[in-house]
Amino acid sequence: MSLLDVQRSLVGFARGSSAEYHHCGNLTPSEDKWLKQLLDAPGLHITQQVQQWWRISRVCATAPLTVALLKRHGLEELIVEYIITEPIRTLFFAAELDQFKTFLRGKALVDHTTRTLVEFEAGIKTAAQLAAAGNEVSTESFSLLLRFQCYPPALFAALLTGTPLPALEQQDYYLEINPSLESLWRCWDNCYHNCRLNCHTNCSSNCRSDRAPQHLQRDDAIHTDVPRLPSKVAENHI
Amino acid sequence: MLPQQSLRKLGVGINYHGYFHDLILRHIDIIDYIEVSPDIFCEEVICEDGNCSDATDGYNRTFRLNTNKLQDALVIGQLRPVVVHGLSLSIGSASGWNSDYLNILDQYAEQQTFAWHSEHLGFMLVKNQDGSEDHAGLILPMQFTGEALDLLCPRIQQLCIRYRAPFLIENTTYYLPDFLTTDHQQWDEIEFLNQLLTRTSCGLLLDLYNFYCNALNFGFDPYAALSRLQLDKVIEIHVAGGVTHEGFLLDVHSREVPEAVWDLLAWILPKLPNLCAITYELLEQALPVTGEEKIVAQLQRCKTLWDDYLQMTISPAQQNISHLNKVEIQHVAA
Repeated sequence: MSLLDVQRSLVGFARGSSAEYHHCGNLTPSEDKWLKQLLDAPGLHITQQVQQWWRISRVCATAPLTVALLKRHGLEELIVEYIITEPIRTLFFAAELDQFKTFLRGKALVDHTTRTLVEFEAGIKTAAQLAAAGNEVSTESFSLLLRFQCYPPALFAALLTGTPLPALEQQDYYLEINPSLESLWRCWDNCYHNCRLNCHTNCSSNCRSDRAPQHLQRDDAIHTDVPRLPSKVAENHI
Repeated sequence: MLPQQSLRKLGVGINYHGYFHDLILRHIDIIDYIEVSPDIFCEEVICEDGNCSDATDGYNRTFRLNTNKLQDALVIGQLRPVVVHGLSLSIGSASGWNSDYLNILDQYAEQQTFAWHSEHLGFMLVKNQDGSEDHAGLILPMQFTGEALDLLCPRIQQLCIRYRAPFLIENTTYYLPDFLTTDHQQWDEIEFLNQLLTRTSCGLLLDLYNFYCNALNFGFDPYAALSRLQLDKVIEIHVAGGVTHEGFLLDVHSREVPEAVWDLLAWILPKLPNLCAITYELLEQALPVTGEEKIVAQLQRCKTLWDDYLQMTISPAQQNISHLNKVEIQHVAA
């Protein structure tokens, strides 16, 4: 049994899968016995848990608002499902927000606000990276418009402080993410929505991303005094 | 050869994280150096030229250092020496190590000098049979076999010459059984480390807490085991604390250093002629749990042992040089 086969089996074991072990076709009886012993070992269970703790901690760090909202909705099992079913494909400490976002997109249990929120957190990450890159990349290449059914800063504040969530409203609120903005994002009220209808007549009723229209000036925005969100909200998992 | 004679005795340090930035500045008088993991500055970035290493979600992406986070670390790097401790090289992967990490380290090395760099003895990445890459999510132990040794030695030699700084390998904690001495291992952990230290130019980063975890979890005598180690190759020591879960002491760096590890440290220090540094490691999330007062107390306890070590092992003239180095750094910082 080669080192590569051993490592494939161990990575599979650590992630709760024995498929790689079963693919090893050239095991000697003693090698087979050894791997079977590993599968039953209490230390393997610990290894799996340690792997899951690290991953959960990464998801919580990279999408703190989305995780908080999932918990409010009693949907923690989606985070666990994500950890168990989705392979790890990024660098050890690199954010896996996009993978988490894609996972949530495919889940019927996830409501409009949660989907919009994870889009928001992923958008902020991208905008922050583009802003930090300065002149190396054009910040005009990225702009995101998200529709919320409640005032976004009130939602963020409720999630960060543990206070009750704001009620959903008939009125739509739009949030623009753009690396050229000082705090990377700003809110619009439904006058922007009306403006878009007048101009383009194709406004979607669902959360959607779009390029912000060039004719909209900064003065049209609802200026919020909410500071830039922390990139990471410390959570105690210890 | 590892240039042990030219390595400076740094003293006592702490691992760097953005959350620790202010704490480190407040207690800079008892922190002789910082240990930096370039991985924590790493992020995926959208690029427009189409030359990125990966493409997901419709965007081309590559890895780069987050300049804001890096800048904070560089500030402390002007006040104190830096050593590098990698987390994600995956040096033992049979299907190839993580070259993205080396690219990150290259970028970091352009902006920050460091006394040495180190990496964990283990692996995280594997290439599947379909060519895709999978990630364990934590560092898994190497098999202590000839095949593993043949894989590691040339990689370590490559790392020894890639940067203008020595390279150290670190022993890790493992929870899987039969990584001691079985039919499937040619050596135990100590013998395997000795083989690596003999066949390459690297030094040893001896993580006493990791070693203590393994000893406790698998029931061997750490003193007897450490007595068989090539102790003249130990350049840096790590101490840390953790929690016990389901009967296993875990390597989570979330608590104060256990008394048993302090005892091990006091016992082993006189046996380490080339030791240059003792690092207290702490997980960033543990800061509010452990608290600043206890962290400072851990560092001060390391400092007391370090001062005793200096008295025992180096001449007054060398101690004076060490003191002058610190004065010089403070002068430059001022």
